[in-house]
Amino acid sequence: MATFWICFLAFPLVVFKINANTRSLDTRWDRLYILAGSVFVLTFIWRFLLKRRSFDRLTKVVNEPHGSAPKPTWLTRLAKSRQRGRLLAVVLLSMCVLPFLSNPYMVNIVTSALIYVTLGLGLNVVVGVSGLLNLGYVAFYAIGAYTYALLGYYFGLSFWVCLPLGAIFSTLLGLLLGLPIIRLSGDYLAIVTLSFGEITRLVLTNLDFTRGPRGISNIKPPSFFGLNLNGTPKQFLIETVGFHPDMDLNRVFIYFIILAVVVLTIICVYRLENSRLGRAWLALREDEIACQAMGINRTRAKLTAFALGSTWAGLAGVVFASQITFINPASFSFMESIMILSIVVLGGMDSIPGVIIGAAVLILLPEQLRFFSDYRMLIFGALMVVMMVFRPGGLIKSVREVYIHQASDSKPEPRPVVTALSTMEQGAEDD
Amino acid sequence: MDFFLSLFMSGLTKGSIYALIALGYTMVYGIIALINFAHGEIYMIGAFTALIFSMLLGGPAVGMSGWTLLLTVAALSALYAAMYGWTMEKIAYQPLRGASRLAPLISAIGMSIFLQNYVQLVQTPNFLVFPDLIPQIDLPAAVAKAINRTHLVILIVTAVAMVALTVFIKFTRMGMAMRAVAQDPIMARLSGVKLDRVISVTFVIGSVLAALGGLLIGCSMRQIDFYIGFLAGMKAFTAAVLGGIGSIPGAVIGALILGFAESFAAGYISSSYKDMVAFIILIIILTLKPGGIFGTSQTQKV
Amino acid sequence: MGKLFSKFVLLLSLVLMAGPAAAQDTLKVGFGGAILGQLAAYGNSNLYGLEYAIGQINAKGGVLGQQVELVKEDDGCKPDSASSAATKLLSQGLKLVFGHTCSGATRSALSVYGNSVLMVASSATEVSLTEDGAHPYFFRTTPRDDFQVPTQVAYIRDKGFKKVAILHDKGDYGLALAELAKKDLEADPQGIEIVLFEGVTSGEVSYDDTVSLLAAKGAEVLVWGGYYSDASKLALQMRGKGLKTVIIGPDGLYNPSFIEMAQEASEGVLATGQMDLSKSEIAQAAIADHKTRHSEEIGPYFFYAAGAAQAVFAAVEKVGNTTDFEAIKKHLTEDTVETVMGPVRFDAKGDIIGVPFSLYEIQGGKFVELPNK
Repeated sequence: MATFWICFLAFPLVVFKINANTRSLDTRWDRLYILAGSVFVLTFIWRFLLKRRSFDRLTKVVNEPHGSAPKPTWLTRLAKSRQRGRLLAVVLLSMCVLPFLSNPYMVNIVTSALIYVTLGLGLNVVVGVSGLLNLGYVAFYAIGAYTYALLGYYFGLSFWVCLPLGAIFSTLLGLLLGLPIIRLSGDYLAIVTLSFGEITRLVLTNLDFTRGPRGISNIKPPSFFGLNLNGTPKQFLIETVGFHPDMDLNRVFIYFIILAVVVLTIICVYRLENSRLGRAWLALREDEIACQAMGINRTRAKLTAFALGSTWAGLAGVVFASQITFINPASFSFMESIMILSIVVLGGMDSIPGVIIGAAVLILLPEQLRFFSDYRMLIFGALMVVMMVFRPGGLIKSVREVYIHQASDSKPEPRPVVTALSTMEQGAEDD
Repeated sequence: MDFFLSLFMSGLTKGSIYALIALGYTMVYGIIALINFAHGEIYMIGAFTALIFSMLLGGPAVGMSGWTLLLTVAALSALYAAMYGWTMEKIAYQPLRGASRLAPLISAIGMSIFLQNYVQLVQTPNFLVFPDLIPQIDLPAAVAKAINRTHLVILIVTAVAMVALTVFIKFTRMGMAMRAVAQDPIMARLSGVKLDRVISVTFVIGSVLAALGGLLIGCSMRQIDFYIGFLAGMKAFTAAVLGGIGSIPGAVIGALILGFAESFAAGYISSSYKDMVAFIILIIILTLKPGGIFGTSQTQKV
Repeated sequence: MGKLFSKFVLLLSLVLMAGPAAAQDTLKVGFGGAILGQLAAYGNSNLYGLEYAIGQINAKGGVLGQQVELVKEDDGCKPDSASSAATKLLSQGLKLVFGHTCSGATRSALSVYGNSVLMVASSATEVSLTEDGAHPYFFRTTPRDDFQVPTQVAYIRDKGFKKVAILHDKGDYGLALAELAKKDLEADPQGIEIVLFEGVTSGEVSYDDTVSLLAAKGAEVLVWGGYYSDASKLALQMRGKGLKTVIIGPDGLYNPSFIEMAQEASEGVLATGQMDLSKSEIAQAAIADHKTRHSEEIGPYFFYAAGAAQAVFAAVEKVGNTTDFEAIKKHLTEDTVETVMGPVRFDAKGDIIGVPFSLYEIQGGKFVELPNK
């Protein structure tokens, strides 16, 4: 049934192709058969998964009428488990040896992924923890990148000077943006941040000293104590550990820098979340008014969330500029903000391992899908929908400590399924 | 003065184009509070199906022309867009009801990427020439000088759509159900409103409007490609929020403000900076009036 | 405990291991460019040209006795994607790459390739790509921006226009052209005044406001930097408002689709374009061949891309391998190769030699070449 429906739906677009050469329509019935076949198979899989999902939910709600924490999946359990330390060590170690075993392509895309991890963690502070929907996050990223590019271009400042400068500038900008929008909430906040992102991009496009859409090229890689890495050190590495000869050691160095930035970010964000400020942000997300009533300075909490969130974007921006060596405003479009937001939501809001997995999935997936060539983005879009539908809470749910007050006497009776179902729809799913 | 008037007219046409898309946007947005990124894609699909149907029906095999062709094509593309909208809701949003607010947003983005690439792959990445389907109308010379017939039709359709939607929402049973769902979906459901049906109808109406927008704007620009939905969707979203979420007249006013802001900024400041000016005005308005122009100020209960 | 752990490690290694594998039974050449995304039309136009040229060469037995295989990587015309597409091509051990589509993406890809890849672009037109001389093994078959602007400026001077408006689409291609025109006119004004120099947003639903501005400034001629799609909207709305300003566009406007889109409004619009490449017999054959495979038009870069491939393969055939870039470069700069786009030879910087521009005027729904002065 669904097959027929989809085929009917796709009929005009798939069967008739506008032929620009002859200004007429080509008819392609064969396409319809292929489509019908694949849709038929896919609907079965879809149905099966959907059924399994609702069955899971049903049993969950019936068995645990308290609506207590849903049974965590293996990823979540892993993130919580006691082997976390060991796991982290293995991940870190494999990340460290990666450039020595792999090829330049791998190093390049993993560097990109790590940049997005930093961005995701930063945005997570704003969206995930504090619940402020920011659709213009890319502006801070751009500020970081342009700080390095412009200061390097005009004044020849080095990467190491620009790295903190980029962070400072974007923090200041975050404060500046934070001021007018304290009163806003929800979607209004979203649209104002979106406008802010667009304004930043337009300014970069229109100003002369940013060189407009032509962008800035030949951005220098960071220096390693003034050493030419591609000279002797590379020869040494090739001879000793069988280093990939095409590998540019400068890029490997950038890889390690961003790895260090990510580790630093994780530590900071983790500490922040469990600090007084972090708790304040959480309270802000859950209920603004109650939060104010508890004596939390709402303005200050919001501003710090914005500013601290932007700091990481600034750092990531500087590293990005040094990795790509060429930047122009096209790299900082609205779609980029959306990608970062997707990382946070897809990975699991308010969860550090979630953001990491989210970045890995969203940045590495399109690369892995290069195999499908033209269908790459089509599949990517579909997968985004599928992942959201089957894991609406993100891949890894938040692992915040929860203290449950347990009533010692009389267990409440399990509620009948009907009420259980309505609870489910009220949003028992997540936060 | 002449310059001012011509800028005013261009703001009006631009605003009415944005309004046509924003109307559908604000419907969906107001009722289920979903930033439907794929709305622009429905608009794009509406334009593509309209082009295909106009070639099928206007071709020698059927040979329709004039108003019959325009109306048939409009009806068919609206029908198809409605079906796309309905299916999209069933696949990507309905399973997510009750999940956190951002989950459907991401799924909408995924849908938008999917549909864009789908049209690019099954059709073409190139620009396509769109025929001007609107038949010649004899306009008084004064009117013809100020506005061309395509824009006039867009203006009329926008106005009619706005009035019709307002009446629909205010005075029909379905409209009442929609308002109820917008206020409180769970309460509405408990009072016997069929939640799924109401939301489906919302999507269908939104998609029909988007398809009409696609057709008319295609006629006015005489070209379409698979990417037109992105910019249109973003402008519509801006207009809808500016006017106040879920408010039908608000969407139109918001779109007009956006149109005027861009137009006057282009005229008196610089084309290069007009989008920026529009966004700055948006920020100022929202800072002064955080609920949008027509938005009701929300009182929060503790 | 071990189960979860090993599951994760497996996942991790799966993600990290999926690297490219190379098998060298065919001669692999790369293509980097916009296959998807907003600018896919231009990337695909390049790709069609390459497909045609490679098809022809393979039918004749390939290059160096090997069949040529094209490895495509999408960069969406974004510098960051271009960087990863480029490293991917590089990691596969490819030595010859065609592309990338946009100047910005080309720039960032070049920094990845360094001197390890010989690259030929067929649509990146920004001047400094070859002018700065940083990449000795970069060539391009498209004439760069500053080749066509003088033709436009000469026409404006010739006709005695005094008030010039310059508009661009804020893209790297459009802006570069607009700035060159501005520079040329300002260097030697001869009473010519630039009344407007602005960027418009590409893909906008209406350019009415800009048109009003043009009218108010009394511009006699509009120099457009950008592609035909936006230009057709501009032309339609200008003529719709009764504005008679002459429009001059670059080769991005020199496209039959412009006439179809702008219809009657296209009449009298001027564009600089290359000598009509499609007139020759081999070009017609190439178009016919293309039509058997695709229903899309060949697009603006088809011949440039095909010419690039034919020239490079001819040089490789003479050298006998794909790794001696110096020798290949020597052949590319010294020998003239007959290709589908006409004779191809490069100068020391890597630019194509002898691709003159002519000025075309749309008369009666056709581009008509104006006599060269």
